[in-house]
Amino acid sequence: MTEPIKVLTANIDKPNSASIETYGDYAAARKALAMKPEDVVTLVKDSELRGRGGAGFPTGMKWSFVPKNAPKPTYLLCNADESEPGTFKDRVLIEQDPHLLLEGMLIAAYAIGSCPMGYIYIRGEFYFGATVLDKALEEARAKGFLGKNIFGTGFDFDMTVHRGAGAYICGEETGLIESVEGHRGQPRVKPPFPAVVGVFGGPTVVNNVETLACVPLIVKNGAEWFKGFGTPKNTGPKLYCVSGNVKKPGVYEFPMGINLKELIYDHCGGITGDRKLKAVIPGGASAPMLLPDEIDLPLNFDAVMKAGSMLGSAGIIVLDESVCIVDAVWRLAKFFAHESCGQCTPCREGTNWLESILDRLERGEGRPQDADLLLDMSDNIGGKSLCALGDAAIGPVISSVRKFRDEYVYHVTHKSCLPGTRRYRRLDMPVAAH
Amino acid sequence: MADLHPDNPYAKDRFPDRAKQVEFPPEHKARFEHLLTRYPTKEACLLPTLHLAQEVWGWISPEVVHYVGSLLDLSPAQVFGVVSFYNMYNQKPVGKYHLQVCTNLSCMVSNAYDIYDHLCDRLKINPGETTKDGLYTVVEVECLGSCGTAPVVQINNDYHENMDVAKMDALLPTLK
Amino acid sequence: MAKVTIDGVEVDVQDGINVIEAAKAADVHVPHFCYHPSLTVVGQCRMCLVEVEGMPKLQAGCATPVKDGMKIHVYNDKVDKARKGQMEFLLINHPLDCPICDKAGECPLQDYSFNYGSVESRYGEYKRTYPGMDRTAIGPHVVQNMNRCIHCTRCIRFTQEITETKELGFFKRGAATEVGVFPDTPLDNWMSACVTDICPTGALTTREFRFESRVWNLDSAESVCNGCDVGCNIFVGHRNGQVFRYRPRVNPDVNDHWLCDYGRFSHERYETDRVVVPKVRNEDDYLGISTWIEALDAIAVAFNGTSGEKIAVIASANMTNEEAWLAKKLFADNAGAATLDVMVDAIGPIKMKTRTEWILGTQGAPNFRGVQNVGVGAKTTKTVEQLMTEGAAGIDVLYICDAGFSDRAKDPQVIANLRQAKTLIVHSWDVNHPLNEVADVLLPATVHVEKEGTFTNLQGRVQRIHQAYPPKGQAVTDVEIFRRIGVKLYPAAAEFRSADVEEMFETMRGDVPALANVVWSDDGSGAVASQPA
Repeated sequence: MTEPIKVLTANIDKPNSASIETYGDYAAARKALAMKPEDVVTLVKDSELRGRGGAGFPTGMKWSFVPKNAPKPTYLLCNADESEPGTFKDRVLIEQDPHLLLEGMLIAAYAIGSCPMGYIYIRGEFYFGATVLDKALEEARAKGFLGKNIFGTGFDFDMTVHRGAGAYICGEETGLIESVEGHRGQPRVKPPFPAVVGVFGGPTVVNNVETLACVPLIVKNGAEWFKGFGTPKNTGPKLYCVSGNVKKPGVYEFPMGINLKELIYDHCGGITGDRKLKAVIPGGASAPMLLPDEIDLPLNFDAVMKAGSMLGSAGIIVLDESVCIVDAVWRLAKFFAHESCGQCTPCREGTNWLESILDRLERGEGRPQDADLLLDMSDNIGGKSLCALGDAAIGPVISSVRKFRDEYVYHVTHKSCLPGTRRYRRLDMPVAAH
Repeated sequence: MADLHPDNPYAKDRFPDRAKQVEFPPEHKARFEHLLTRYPTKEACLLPTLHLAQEVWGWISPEVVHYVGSLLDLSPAQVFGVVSFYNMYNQKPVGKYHLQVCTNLSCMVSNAYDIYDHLCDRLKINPGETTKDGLYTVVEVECLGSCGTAPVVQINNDYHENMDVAKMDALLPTLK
Repeated sequence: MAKVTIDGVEVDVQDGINVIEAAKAADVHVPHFCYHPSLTVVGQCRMCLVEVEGMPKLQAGCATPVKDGMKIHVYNDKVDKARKGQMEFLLINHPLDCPICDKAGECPLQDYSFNYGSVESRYGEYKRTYPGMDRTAIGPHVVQNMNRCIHCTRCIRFTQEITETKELGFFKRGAATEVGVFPDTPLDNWMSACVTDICPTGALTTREFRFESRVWNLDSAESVCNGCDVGCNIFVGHRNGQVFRYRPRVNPDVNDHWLCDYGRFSHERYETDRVVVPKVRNEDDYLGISTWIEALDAIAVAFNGTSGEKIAVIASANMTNEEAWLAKKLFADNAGAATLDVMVDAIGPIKMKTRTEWILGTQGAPNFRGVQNVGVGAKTTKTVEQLMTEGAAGIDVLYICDAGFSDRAKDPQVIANLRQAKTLIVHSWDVNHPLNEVADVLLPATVHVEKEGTFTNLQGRVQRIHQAYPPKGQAVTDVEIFRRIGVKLYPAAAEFRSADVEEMFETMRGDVPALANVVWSDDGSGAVASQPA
């Protein structure tokens, strides 16, 4: 059995873990600022760190895309808009160990160059997290770790906590940029990519909280140490969030590539009430579902991709046999319909249509052609939308129709859920207008 | 414009009362001035300024839309576009305690809908409505990012985790 | 330059332009809603999805710059399926109320639905509606029906990028997203009605044209707006001798895709009773209906034996170049009139955006520069201003080529001053114009949509106007009036033989230096305007 590790989460159990006294004096940042910026980028490249926000893009490469000598200043944005259902890892880091994130941002800003300001885009609901970060920033400024001439190297950098206001789509890179600029969080059409033209017209790097938190560790311990966790191309410590019908939900840290089955049954204590497992969503709401016989796989970017799903943000939602799959998918479809920004056609109209059909199935008004319609319509959304939200919305729909088609058919023919499964909501509840 | 007001049902509740002048109190004014120094453009201060406004007035009224627009050189349509895009800006007054029940998948399978239904039944309001005494508003919200401690209810800015109906019942009387 | 292949056709296009523009070179139409050549690219409607070889996903044609060697498929099975899917999404919540929609017949959504859509609907849910937003006047000219909107944001981008007034915005999000104005900030700017042109559905229509006519029942003539000296290119939508609307005609150098509200609705001035017969003042000082022969006789009597010193002519900035030139031939060169001048009222300024820059219209008539160019006002004893303020005493014949030469011509004091001339001859089309009553000879004239000819705008650009419908009653164009008078008074003069505007233009070109390099073009390409020298 793989033992949990405490690398990213090394500080979180300490008393007063959020204070700079507990954290230390930014030794990694001191080390990085003594290096040449391009050497820091190379170091991160060598570590094979991949973005923890969902796409798994190599972080070092992302940094190296930023053009040197751009006419406008470069900006570093930290994506702390953690809104993917099933994901709650960043909140732990933000609230328990904010200085790890700040040090990571300081190093990242130094590495990408000519970056006067970093913004931490934290979702508006994390009010407490925002106050923790604000306090941490004050502490760091007081110590001279932020501001002008940091560590006497002549490097200037400051950060601002930017609170979102309740929009999942602002977790999308360009949606986040729009939101920082004070607009509606509608993702931009690409090209140009943010690394070239991002926030306020300058080159921009957007990194997830966990990604940035890995950076000080890499600088401190070296790329080889980092690669010691996990397998080649899928390196480093990783936070896994397990929720749903498990006995011990929570955030677990393992070397990248923990076995999913082991995670659920050994570390999380198995399924609530010792019921049978029905399905697992391995990477946040947008990841296609896995059946119980598909979960014996290592949780890293490539292996989950090979199994037809995605690791995403490693938000693992476990559903047991008592869950009506149509109801569960309806809830996710409702989420995506609610969070669609509304600018592009397939996502605006498609996500809402998906929700209507699934709702109708739950109400016993399903039609024989609904399952095929869901599949065909999903195909018209997938890959056609402006940003990735369209693709995200169809993940659970397509996989569930393919894998639980009998249950869909049962809803049509019997006008009710499968015996032994339950619907959680009350159908007579009026829907509040936004 | 005569055509939009007062006959048009669509515009009625959104029509600002120009006679009502709103202005930030000095403390918030100072915080707003500080915000302006943190961003390279004025427009970028819109989200934090609206957070400030909601702190002061509890909701973003049409008058506040005009006020914030005038502070940041934005048209009311731009400000209202942002207000109506983001969930957290209240477009109508809410109760003293804004009970936001997360019902997304992880919370749902942890029986969040029971809490939600119970709250509506107990307070005798429909979702999105405010009790007559102005104390509570119940809404269903999307994932609050606390799935490991589901179900979670956000009351104003505070998370209440690992909730159930009994805990909710115990909590309600303390919210006065 | 980039060599790209579009549906098997290899074309050379400018490097970096988008696929929609590049496809035009191959004569392939990429359907699109949100893309507009004069607005920023947002890639929202997803209608212009095309397949680019080597890219796994379909690409939005509007947001994909072409590179050398790119192979693009606008029509193949994969793209057709995607396009059909987007069309379905656009229509599931569209009311499909074409039979009562003003846009029907010229609606991109309707056209694309016909070309790329599906006959049967798979949508079995309730359609989304926007209660209270189905006939909302959102400004003095624009009416919104949100149910028909497909959220392309062209109108929003227009108010953000062209007028920069930002009245329109996206509100709410997801399927509930709506386009609207903030309630007490209506869409009220000087070009507001342009949003109805760029709207690809019937969501935005003008109050003025709403329910006036089905668009396929209208004839269309290419013309130039005569509201000011910018000379915006327009289509005149007309039927049975009545103008229903002006619509901008694309000319990137003048008005691009736009037309100001003042110009757009300036045809409303034509909705009045018209002077349709000549009138001559008889011995009893009664201005009575006459025939053209009687009117021309009366003019001949006035002119014959009157020395040029005693003849004054007020031309008008509303005249075409040809009319002005013929007037100069008739009055200055043949009759020897000492006074021949033109004036123009100041208005605005009205801003208009070409593709690249703003230009300012400051004159209340279309052709002041053109009339001056042909020589009117170059050599005159008195100016129009002097005639109006000091009076026309001592003038035997005062010939006013257009009663509407200035708004001040309605001022009773000005009228009294002008009336001091012994004989007053007036062209007029508006039956209510006060100058009509004091004229000795009143000739029925035409409005600009009834004329052929050219206007010269503030850039010096000579642009053609086309006759939309024939003049009313016995009215004839000014060219014809001057020709008739010319033939009557100077039968030997060659320039009055023909009323053919094109012939006249060729003669005029040899005569007027400013027009020497202008080429008459009538290729029907839409521009129909000759280029500035």
